[in-house]
Amino acid sequence: MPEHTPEFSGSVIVLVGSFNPAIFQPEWFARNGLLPQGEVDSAELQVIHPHLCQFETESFTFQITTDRFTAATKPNTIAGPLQDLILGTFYVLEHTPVQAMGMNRVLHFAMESEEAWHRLGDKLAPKEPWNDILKGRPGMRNLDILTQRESPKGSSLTVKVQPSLLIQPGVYFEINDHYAASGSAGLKSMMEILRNQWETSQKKGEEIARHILEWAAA
Amino acid sequence: MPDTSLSGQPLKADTFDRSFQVAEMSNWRISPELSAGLKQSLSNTTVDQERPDNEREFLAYVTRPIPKYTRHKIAAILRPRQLWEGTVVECQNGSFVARVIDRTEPSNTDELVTFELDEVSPEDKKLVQPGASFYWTIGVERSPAGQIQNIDRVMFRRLPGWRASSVRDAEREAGSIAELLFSE
Amino acid sequence: MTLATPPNLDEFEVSVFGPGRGECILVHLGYNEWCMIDSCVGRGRSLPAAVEYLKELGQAALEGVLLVLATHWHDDHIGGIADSLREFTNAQFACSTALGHRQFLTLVQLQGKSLQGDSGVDEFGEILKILQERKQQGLRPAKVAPILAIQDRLLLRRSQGERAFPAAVTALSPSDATVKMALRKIASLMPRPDQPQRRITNRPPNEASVVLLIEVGNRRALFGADLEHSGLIGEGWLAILNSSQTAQPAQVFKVPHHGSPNAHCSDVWEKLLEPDPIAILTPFTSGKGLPQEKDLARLRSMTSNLYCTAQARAKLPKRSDKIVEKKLKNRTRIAIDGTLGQVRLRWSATDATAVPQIEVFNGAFKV
Repeated sequence: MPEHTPEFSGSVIVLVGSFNPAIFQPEWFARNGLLPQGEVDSAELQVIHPHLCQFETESFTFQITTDRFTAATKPNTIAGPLQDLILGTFYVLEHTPVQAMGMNRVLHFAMESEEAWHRLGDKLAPKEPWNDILKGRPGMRNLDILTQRESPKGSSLTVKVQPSLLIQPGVYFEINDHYAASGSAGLKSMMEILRNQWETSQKKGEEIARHILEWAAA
Repeated sequence: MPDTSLSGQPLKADTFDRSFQVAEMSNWRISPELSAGLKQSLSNTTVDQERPDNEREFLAYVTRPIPKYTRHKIAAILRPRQLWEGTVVECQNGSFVARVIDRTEPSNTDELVTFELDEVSPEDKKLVQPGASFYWTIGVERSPAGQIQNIDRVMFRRLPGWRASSVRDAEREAGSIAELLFSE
Repeated sequence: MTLATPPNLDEFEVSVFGPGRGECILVHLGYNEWCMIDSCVGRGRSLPAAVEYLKELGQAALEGVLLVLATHWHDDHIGGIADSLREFTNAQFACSTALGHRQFLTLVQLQGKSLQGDSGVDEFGEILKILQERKQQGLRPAKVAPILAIQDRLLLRRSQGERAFPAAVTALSPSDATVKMALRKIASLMPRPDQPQRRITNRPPNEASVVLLIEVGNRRALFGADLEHSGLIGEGWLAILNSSQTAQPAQVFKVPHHGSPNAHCSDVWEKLLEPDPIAILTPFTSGKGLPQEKDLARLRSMTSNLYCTAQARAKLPKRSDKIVEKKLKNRTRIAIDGTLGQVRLRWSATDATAVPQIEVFNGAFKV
């Protein structure tokens, strides 16, 4: 097992476009062969409404509004089935307008000590000059780093780093791999990216987190 | 640029714990009574492109803490130690042979592995056909009660059936290719 | 002489590589002109075996490849063939007539859209893309249109006027009847609407396999691909034997279908090969493994010059994770990719008295 193994991890796919939340009931996924019937039968429905649909199954959590489709894995499960779920869903709904897609990876790492935890925060966001002007004990609460890619146009990578709320002392990473669709073939281009880049994107997210942790420890 | 990260959610993290970051407020539930009340109150709501205030109010109402909630039962957490992707090559009586590709250490050789049909969940059994693919995971699972057990799990990939339009598109493309490559 | 020493201009060379993902044969036709039959990629390698080897011999060798042939579509024979065609910018692509048929092209296009990824015919999809790119670049038709191999079709010729000795590559199969069989099988692989998306797995028999006869000066080699012997007239090896076009017996034989008994036809050894030919085979490491001991014994009775590129059984990887090893202990497992071995034969194409030079590399051996 590599050094710096996350205690908790998960994957999330977000699509921005135009959706009809009312159709995304658990039964729809079973009917189209995308989820097992048993998993659908035990789904926990939270909201089913024309503007919002939210439910959980054994493997996934779903939230769909009129302009946003989000699906996430449960903690520490494999990411492949999420890719299959989204590819399959939008193979069936081939005419869905989609403007953007985010392939997200979330990771919680335990730090070996509070000192190591502080060291990471200090290196990412030095406490000078804050100590001079702020009373109390200023500390890093959130850091977002964005990098735009040259191609494809409109794509970017954002890394968010925060103290973990699940593990103390621990650090939370959220990597958003963002792609913008162009023209009328929005869904097709996004699904092509999902099909070809998902594994690389997920691995990149872990690589980024490990790199920062190793750098902080050095 | 539209926000495709978790932070860009219209609903606050505390009702949708995708990131598992919000420990104390994780997995709040909307009670059936509240849900029914909300549906009723929105029956006259109209929504236009600009997301009017009444919908924002609705969303804010949905996200506020409800007085009673139960902490979500933490499902078993799996820590995968080895992952393969397999394709069924041959179905035998009560078992099947699959070619597996090592996804954890891709430089390892592919293998032919025999699986018993009883290792597959009852719902997945009908998916066991030559050409069908699956994820094979070996790992350690921690139950909600904290018990640890070793896991060896086969999960078949669920993909939709072919659309008739996909077949037609392929036929058309094949025709174009034949025309392009085999004509003068 | 080292592995990286190129052949002399008048030397006939046959290099057989395998197993990897696939098997591969490179044939030197003289004058730094080459033909590649099938393709493979060694485990952990990024380049196809033929590209790696020819790069060792120099840039001129890469440019000298004139023909890339896929004997059939099974992925254990064409691993990396698209990357090879991209490198070999002067090469024409050839395949069985059945694979140029619209049905197969439709299957390739459809599977290319499969949500599974890695459909089993992806290499062909890539080949078609390369050929379309070449067309768009305005390259001459010979580099664009695939040559469709069928029984007794001449695929490549270098006549005596152009050089000191002639060279010819002729397809001896598939026959008309086997093309029809292959097309029926391809039709059966076409998914119906609503049928779940699945990978295409290799399914025997290999009736559309292209068998080649290559003649270079005084030398003749028969390459058996995966052609099987059904015993039926008009099919498999009998179709070749009954053809009036069968040439002089060959001195070199690439044993078909990894030495399996269902590809063995005694008449081939008696009528198409010289006595005691040089025979080379690649193992197939799946299932029970081919060749089995009894297959080697049978082949040894046909020739004393039998070479194999690798052992039929590859080693399973060891894992450091004890939990994983423990779980795997009771499983029936077979490793597929072995070490990529090479058998290399070099033989003067002009000197009838010359003796062949046969070398083995990376675990290849004389049986």
